[in-house]
Amino acid sequence: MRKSDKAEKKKILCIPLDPVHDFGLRMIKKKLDDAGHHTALLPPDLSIEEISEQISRMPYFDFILVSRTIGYGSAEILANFLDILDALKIREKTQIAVGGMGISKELAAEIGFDAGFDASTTPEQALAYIEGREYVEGPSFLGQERNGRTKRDLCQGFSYAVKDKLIDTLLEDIADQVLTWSKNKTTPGIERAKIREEMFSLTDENLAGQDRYRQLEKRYIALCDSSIQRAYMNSDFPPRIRKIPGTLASGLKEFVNRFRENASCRKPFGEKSAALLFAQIGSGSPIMDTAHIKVCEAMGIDGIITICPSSGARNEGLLKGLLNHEGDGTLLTVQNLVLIKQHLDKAVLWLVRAHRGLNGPEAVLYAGHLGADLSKLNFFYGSLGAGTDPARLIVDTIASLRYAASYNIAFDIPSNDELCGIPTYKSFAGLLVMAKISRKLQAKPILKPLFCYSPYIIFSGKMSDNFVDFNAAKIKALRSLINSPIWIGEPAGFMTHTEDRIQSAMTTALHIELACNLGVQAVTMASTDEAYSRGVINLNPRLDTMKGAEAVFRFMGKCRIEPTGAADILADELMKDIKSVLTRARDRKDLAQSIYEGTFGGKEDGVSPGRGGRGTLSEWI
Amino acid sequence: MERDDVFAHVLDGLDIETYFICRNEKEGRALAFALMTELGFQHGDVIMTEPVGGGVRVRMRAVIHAPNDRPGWLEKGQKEVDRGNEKKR
Repeated sequence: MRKSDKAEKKKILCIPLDPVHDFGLRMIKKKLDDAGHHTALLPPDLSIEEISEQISRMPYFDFILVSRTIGYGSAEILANFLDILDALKIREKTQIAVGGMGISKELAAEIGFDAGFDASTTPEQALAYIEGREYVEGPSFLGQERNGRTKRDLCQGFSYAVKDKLIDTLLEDIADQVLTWSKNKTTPGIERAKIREEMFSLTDENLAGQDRYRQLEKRYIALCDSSIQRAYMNSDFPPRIRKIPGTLASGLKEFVNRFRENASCRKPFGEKSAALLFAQIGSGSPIMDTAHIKVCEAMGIDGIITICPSSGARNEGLLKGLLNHEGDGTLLTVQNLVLIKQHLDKAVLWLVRAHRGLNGPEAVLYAGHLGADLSKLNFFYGSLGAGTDPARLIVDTIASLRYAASYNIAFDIPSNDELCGIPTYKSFAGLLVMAKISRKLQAKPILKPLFCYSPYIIFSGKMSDNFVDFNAAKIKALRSLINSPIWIGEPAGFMTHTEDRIQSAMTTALHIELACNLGVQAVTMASTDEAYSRGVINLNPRLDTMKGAEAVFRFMGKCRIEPTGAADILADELMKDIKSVLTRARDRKDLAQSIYEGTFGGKEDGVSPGRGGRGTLSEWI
Repeated sequence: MERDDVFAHVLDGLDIETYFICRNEKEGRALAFALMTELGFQHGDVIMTEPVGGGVRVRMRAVIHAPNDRPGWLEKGQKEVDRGNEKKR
């Protein structure tokens, strides 16, 4: 039981035990006064003897709040002060607390104060202490997560109208050509997705269903690479892949429940900024991913992108089971995704990638069936920047788009081919083609230009002065061409990061602020481990950049970053060059051949079309 | 509290930053690895080295729970640690 009754208004004496500083105590005094308590504040720079003399002549106080900013010698001064209060018999009736920049809770306890507050203490916390109640920061995770907040539809309100008539005609022609070309074609990836679709439709409640499942799995395995087949048939997994024991998954459930009991969450970024912020998470373990996700959610992240390993794009077939992977991403298995989804906050958007390899249709099917909100598709990037054969990937992507449309999940079109050396205008021409094809299939695309320092940009000197103008030009150009949602990828500020965490957090935060200023719908944020590639990304580097974003949002408020006139000139150049790429592609009348021949990026840019899955197309007769 | 009990609370890794007075980056890196070994961390890396003035700024990382491990924080009944606001007088 505390010494004072919390129902009454309290009497509090505030003492700045410091030569100069009393600002913190004045803030607390105001908070207490506003709450109806009766406070008195002594001036700073009084000696302990002077303070004691004044206190001895004052009436009774429920609390004495002492502040101390200077750290050196604090312990002795404060101990001396307490001894005097003891001698005056004040401590018998009054609670004595100490706080300030020079104080830690441990020091306060060691000296013998009733309570101690450090530099992070807020006036609200001090008020809670005085009123004898527990301080709760922000809304709790308990009960309804994020207080019933709903997910934002990134595509809402966009018509996808192409504003330039000539470009619209070019895109219509290219899209019609490729849809006609792909009409009767199929691939092992599409066939596996069809099998998986039927497997999803079965229930194991009856024997007939179980038999059918086994038959389907047999057919599925026949369409997989040998390394995947061995895993299905003999549990002989590829290197660095291990089964996760079931006990760990149940332990995770208890961990998440304990975490929720203790966690408080900050306001989501989407409520503080114009754009939603996404984090990429793929440690290799769905358990570690979940732990990272829970903390990122508490920090206010709006969306999560599950990062899968590059090997998953190179092999025919996806593994099954709850699996760990010691490598570059978390394996795309139904069980891994179910585990991640199970613990995901209901208000947080979730993206499952399907963009670059031989398992696209099945990955989009997983995304749709398992409740993801978004996927990721771009055959230009997948074939020019990630090693998959263009013809194979076009056919797979068209099937993937149909799945995305049928599940009504949006998808982003990453333009990461720019990082391989492809000029921005070629990459953007690809974005627009992808968007047009998608709309013809009733899918919902989100353009994902990069804010990056790419090889093309370095060689062309387009960012020799600043990182603002050319990034602004990219958004201006896309906005002038199409009414579409835009999401800055991936992650924002790519290749501007170093292994220095301060620099890395700063460049991420500034790129996010620029993106918000330009009115985009979402941004993928890096961690401060972005430039570190010798190990997994840890949690604290994720928190670093979120703290950076918070700080820059607070700093900028409603102020804006203003690009120079160069941004308009660069945007005009981009639009002219995009038109010329699309004209060449349309006139070639064969999009796959256009990609093989380098229209969207070729040898002069340092890229070659991929070979993964080459020769696997088959045609319906 | 035992060392293992403390490490069970670490989510993934432990970063250590410092500035070494040394001749060059190579020496700074070697010192960083030596420090990690001295502190008893077998699995780790030097994340960043940056020569500044007459020394090198470094950040090291010890891996406490790799993604493939069974993390200690999944276990029930972790000891609660609180050194604050304990009245000792």
